[in-house]
Amino acid sequence: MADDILIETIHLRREYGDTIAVQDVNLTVPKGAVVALVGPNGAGKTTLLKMMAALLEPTRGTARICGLDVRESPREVHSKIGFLPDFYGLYDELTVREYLEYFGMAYRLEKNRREDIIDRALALVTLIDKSSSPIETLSRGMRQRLAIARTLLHDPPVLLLDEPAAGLDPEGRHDLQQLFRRLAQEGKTLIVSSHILTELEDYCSHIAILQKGTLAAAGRADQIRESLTKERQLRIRVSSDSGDLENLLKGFPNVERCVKEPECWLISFSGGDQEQHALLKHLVDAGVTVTFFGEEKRTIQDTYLALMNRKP
Amino acid sequence: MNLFSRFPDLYRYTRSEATRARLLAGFLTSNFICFSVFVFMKDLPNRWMAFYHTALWLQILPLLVYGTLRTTGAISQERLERTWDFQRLTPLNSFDITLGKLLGAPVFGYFLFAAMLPWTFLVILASGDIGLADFWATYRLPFAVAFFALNFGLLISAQSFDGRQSKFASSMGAFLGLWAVSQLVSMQAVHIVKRLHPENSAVQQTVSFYSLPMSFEGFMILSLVVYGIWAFFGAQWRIGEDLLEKRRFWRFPAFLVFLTWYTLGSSVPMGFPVPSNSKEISTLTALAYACFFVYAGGFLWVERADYWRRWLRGRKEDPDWLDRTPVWVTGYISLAVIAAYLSVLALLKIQGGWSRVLVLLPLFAGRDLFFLQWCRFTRSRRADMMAAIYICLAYALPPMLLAPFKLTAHSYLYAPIPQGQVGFLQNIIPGFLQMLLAGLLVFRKLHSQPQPE
Repeated sequence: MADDILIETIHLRREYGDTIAVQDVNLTVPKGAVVALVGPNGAGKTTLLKMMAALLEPTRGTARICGLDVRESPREVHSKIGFLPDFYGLYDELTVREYLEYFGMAYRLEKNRREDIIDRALALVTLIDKSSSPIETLSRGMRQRLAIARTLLHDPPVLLLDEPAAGLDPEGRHDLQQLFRRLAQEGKTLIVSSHILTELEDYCSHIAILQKGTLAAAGRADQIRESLTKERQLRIRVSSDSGDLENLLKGFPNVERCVKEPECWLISFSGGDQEQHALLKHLVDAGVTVTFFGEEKRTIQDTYLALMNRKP
Repeated sequence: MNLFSRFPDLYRYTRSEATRARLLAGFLTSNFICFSVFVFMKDLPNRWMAFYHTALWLQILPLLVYGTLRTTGAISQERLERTWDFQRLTPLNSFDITLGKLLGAPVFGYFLFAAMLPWTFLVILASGDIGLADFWATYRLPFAVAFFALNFGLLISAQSFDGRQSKFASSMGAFLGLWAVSQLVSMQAVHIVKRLHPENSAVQQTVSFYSLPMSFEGFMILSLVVYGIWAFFGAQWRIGEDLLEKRRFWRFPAFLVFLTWYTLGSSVPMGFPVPSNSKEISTLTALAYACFFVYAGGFLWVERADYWRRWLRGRKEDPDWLDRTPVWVTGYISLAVIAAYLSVLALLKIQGGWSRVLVLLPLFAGRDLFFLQWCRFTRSRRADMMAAIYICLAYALPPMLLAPFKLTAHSYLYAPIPQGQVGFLQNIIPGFLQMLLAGLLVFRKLHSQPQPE
């Protein structure tokens, strides 16, 4: 395994009886990457994460986390990862600090260091002012952040987060995004599975798309977007007296589709930069008053939908 | 490293169960009850002794009922609330977790016990005729019962795999506590009768354990402590499996061998006439106990088709192959070995047609366990329940159908019953054929299922 590869799965497979949940997944994640693990329900995301976390034994194949094999050294793998399952069960009867104190002891943190580590984790998840509050009084977002603080106690280089934003309100999601950004800046390698693709957009450097247990696409986010979404998305705004723009657009060779939106036109365009320039020229020459002409950035959602053979 | 750091569960339970308000309320309530009882009993003729025994009950009840309820829920509740995976990810080993839960889960029960202890010492100091020797004599049995019940509760809890079993395990706690109380009541009754009527030989029983004479109470305490320790290790092994610690194939067989040895060593109370068939009784009891636990192991450890395929496939390349042997297989092989050993003993020491049971029982157990496995390879969502029902029917239905036709002499065809009128081979062949058939069905099912490429 190359030095910069922190996570590697090799023909990873998991069967539940006759059902194959994950099938021969080969995935490599470099150090410091933030991977968006996306896929429909039942695609095998949770199973894949649990196998990486050495909580579920693979039926075949294996995974290596920081060079440690999940089959051969599952307990050592646990020390290298922080795992947040889709259900972040907490001990409601404890206070925030007691909860982290308990896991600090369980992670065998030295007593003289434990306080500092807990304070640091609480500061990172912005819960320091809630340290004496009973967990049962925390909001959902705070509970989620507390669960993340637990995963950080032993300072693992890899974080595996399964649907961390599920059920959070917009503010909670925003806080979580900020937290992930901070963790990425600290050099942690994150794999985040989520259904809410738009929120992964800002901080994910890599994408892995699972479909029916197999890895449909994986790699750097920009490369995946480029390889999967051949068509450009152009947004054009024109003045109201621009005549029959639809026919003008449809008559241009590289225009695949055009959709009228309230204030503008959205065009699927299969050409390159030269053709794009030619289209603008074609419109201007035809006397259309173009007030805005630009390329829409492809989102993870577009990439995902493109792979799932759906129109973005 | 202090106790909390070594067993973080103790810390957690102390923080959540033994809060300051709870401790204060528990202390005041328990002492108020003790005081009320003391005042109520002050005019009784034997008031010190009566109060001493009442105080003992007041102390032990929270441990037996509340404590057992807590240990039964210790792991199953975590599985139910899905906090178990977080513990699995920590470097805690199975011993730390198991002992932490045993010490931590009933912590409030321990506190109530300790809170009422001064009343016992008050009686010892004030009465004059109750000494520290009496303290030990009266407390050792309740301690042993509590030790067994708490550990057994933990074992039940550790064995629950899914939410349904977890709920069942949690509700088992109440029954286990009540069982422990009922056992203690009966044993305490013997103890009191023994003290009041020392001339009654029926309660002055001495038990022989491998020719070692010991009191009945002593034997009970030994048994409770020994099986309490086994229950603790059973819970630890199950937790160890969850922690992906190395599974050792010999653990279940070791328990079965110990169980057989222990059962064979316990004989009828000394001073009582020894029945002529006592050897048969102890031999068959030993086999029946081993058989019961092999069934229990078969039902509790669920190894589905994919596990079997991997196990069968990995025979050559997997260095841990032997340790991955399905539990009921190791259990069943142990049962066969135990039955063979008991057969040798039976042939050396005792003669008689009954010894055929030593062959018949493993054959029918094999049939049932193969059938259980076959049910698990089907698509049934309630495979274990289906297997249990069909196995019960396989034993219950034939006699009901055959009895009206007076064909009960053929009962050896469907149950492990020695039939003196038929030869040895004729007696065992039906059981053997049924086991063979069930085994073939299992392997056919295993190979006929669509194999993942």
